[in-house]
Amino acid sequence: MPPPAHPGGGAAIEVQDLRRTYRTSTGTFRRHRVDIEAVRGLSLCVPPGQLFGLLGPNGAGKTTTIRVLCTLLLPTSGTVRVLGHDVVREPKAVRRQIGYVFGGDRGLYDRLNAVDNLRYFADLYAIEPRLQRRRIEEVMELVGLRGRERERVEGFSRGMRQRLHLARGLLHDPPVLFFDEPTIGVDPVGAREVRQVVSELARAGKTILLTTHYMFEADSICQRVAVISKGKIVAEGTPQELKSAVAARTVVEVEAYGVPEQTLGRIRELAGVESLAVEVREQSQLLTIQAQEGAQLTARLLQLLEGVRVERVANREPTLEDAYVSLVTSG
Amino acid sequence: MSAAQRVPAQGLFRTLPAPLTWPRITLSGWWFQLKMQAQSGFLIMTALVQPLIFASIAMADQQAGNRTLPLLYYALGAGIMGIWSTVVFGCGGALSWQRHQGTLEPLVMAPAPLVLVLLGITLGTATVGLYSMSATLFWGWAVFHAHVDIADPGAFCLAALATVVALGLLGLVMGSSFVLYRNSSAISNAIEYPVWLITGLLVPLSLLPGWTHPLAYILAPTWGVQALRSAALGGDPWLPLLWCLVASLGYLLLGVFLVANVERLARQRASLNWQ
Amino acid sequence: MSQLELGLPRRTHHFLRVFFVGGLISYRALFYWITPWMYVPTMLAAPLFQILFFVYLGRSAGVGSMAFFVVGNSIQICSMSGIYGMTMAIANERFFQTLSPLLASPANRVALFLGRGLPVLVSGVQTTVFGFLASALILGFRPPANSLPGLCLTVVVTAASCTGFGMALGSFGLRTRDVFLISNIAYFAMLLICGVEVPLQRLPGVLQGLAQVLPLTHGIAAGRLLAGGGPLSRALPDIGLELLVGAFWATAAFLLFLLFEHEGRRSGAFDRL
Repeated sequence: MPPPAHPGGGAAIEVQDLRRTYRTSTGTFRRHRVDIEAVRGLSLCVPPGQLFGLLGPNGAGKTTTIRVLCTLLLPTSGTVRVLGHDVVREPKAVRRQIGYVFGGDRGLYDRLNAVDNLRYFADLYAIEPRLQRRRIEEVMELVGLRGRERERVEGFSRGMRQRLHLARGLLHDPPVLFFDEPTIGVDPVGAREVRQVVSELARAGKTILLTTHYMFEADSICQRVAVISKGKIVAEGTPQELKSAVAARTVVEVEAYGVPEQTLGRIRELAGVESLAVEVREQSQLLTIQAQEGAQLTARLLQLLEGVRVERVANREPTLEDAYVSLVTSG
Repeated sequence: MSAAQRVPAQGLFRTLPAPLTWPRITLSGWWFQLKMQAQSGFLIMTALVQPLIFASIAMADQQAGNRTLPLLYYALGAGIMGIWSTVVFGCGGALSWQRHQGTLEPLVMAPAPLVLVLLGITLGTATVGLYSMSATLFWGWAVFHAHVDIADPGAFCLAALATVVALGLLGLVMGSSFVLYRNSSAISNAIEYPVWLITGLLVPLSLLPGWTHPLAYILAPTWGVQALRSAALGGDPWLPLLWCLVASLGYLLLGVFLVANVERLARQRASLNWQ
Repeated sequence: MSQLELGLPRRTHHFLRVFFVGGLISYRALFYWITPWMYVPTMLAAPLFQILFFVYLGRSAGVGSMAFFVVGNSIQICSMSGIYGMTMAIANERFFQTLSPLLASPANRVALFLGRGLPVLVSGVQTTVFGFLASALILGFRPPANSLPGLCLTVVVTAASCTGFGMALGSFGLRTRDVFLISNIAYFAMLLICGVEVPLQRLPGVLQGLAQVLPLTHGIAAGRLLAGGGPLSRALPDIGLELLVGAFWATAAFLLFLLFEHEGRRSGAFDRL
């Protein structure tokens, strides 16, 4: 869906028909080139002050999109603007206004301490020298790393590294922030703290684009969500709107042991069934069947599953995760 | 974690015109690189042990041979060999380490000009190379009983400084390729010996085939070692010193040009991260 | 489980698989110098310039013959593969953070370890052969034709002993993250100590003694003797000593590997970068 036109540059983040192709080559002597389209015609528009979630499975193109926005990758085609500045023509203007916080534990100078990690970037972001010390103290306080300033980063836990990433992203107080899977690999308590800081930043008026593949994360903090699959946006709206797309559905969960492939095929063909997702657990399988509301499935299901050991069958309300699963599996 | 609201601070940014912030960015990068290197045994080895070994080989050969050139001649050459090695390996190593650690991306993403970030790194590595100069001189004096009488100490210090800056800037020219190619150590490995050989650091230029001379003239080590030798052994250090500066200026301009293009290429080819 | 358990013949087969296939795969994965973009500059261009550098240095000092430097350096460059190849074969496991899964596997440690040496040995021989050929072309180096079989034997034995030595250095990769510091010092110190550029008798006594237990020393001595027209029978004792030195280091390497593996499990040093 094309974003509304913003002639005056009203949007904080504006992506129009973004495409990005990677060229990889295989073979040593007879090099064989392969083009991989990571993002194929993606458009989105985030107004100032919004916390926008980009949701999608691994390899859907989330990170590529965010790296184009952060001026680390050039788009193959399309227009990408941050606060009205084009990432191709005015990378420097974009860089002054954005902070990029990526997930995982890379991206820090392991052998240096936390303050040294920040100090260098304070200069690279042209922060007034006499304010640097105070500012570093401030962001360390904000992310809850006070008292650990002089420790080498290699001794930091993943959660602490994530907070240091956050501190670096906030150092120059940018109006636009990008978070790339900021809670990946962080323990539940740490992840909740990271989400809390993200929400607080949003309340303080920052424009935030966040990628994640955790549904509840998007559901709990984002004001607007886009689901991206195979390089394209397949749905966009508030979490409630996305949920309502599946609200007129009923979800049946069946836990069973050793369901044969043909039976799965037959379930998919049942009248009223919209999608079927199979999750393999330790020994059992969890079938999540989304169907049109009012489709009396249970009896027909059990008929098909005759001879299979069924642990439980349950009906439940659709969640954002169901909306997501149905979007990325059908797309 | 506490509230985010109190973060915005007035006057957080320097209001100076951009060019006036450049020296601080470069110096800060230079100091940062020195700190990083203090943590790395690798560079100490390249800067310290390796030049001593080459100096020993050269001086041992000289003592066994025809003794036409003074030992100090070799000690100085070996010292510059050390600076060159630190620059090619230190700079390439620093950048591939940054790439691997994932810190190259934040550096590129910062609004500071990338060329200054790289300049800080290359000047930092070249500065470490000063160790090798002092070490080879000391080694020559202590082990091989070389006469370390510097004819013109002032000119000598100036020449040493100019050599470090020139080699750092030459490193900048190469640094641009290190940003682009993941296998930067291939470049380092391939250019270490050839530059040692053709710039006359241990082997006098007159012994080398004539076609190598033009190459030698555009490489700063050629002029740096001549300036140092003239200042130490007696002679006119100022002409080679001047050429050293001219070469430096050339490298700086070339570096600025290359880095600007390389940054663009790297964003196109997605080569900033480690894959 | 019973299907996965290996019978005795299968166990031998498994050993050989870990040795050959595993060795080759890990070599390709870890010794990244063998990709053409690395191999040509690192294993061909750099050694060639090294030979030229020292031949010219000898000329300028008026010392030694061209053959002295060609044979010394051509044989020495096989240690590049032996030392760096083996160091990387172990240390890069840490770099790629694959050391832990590797050590958690039940694979036989001898096979795991020695298997990595074979490809390294082959590439060492390659580099030396290239060095000799390039010297023949560029510098006009011509050893007597009947010395060639003996020279080949010397080169293979020296490459093998360098590989054994490299394994010992590589073992330190389990213990320290700065293992390349060790391999660098070793590589360059051997230029000075092992009679590559400076005749052994010109070195201080301590270094001469040290040279006896390092690889290269005896191999280069044998190579110079053969290239100078000496009979194979006179070179054989040196070749034998070189082999002995290599076997010594390979054994030491394996013991160090076991020791450091055990220590690492205690201190948890494997995944520190």
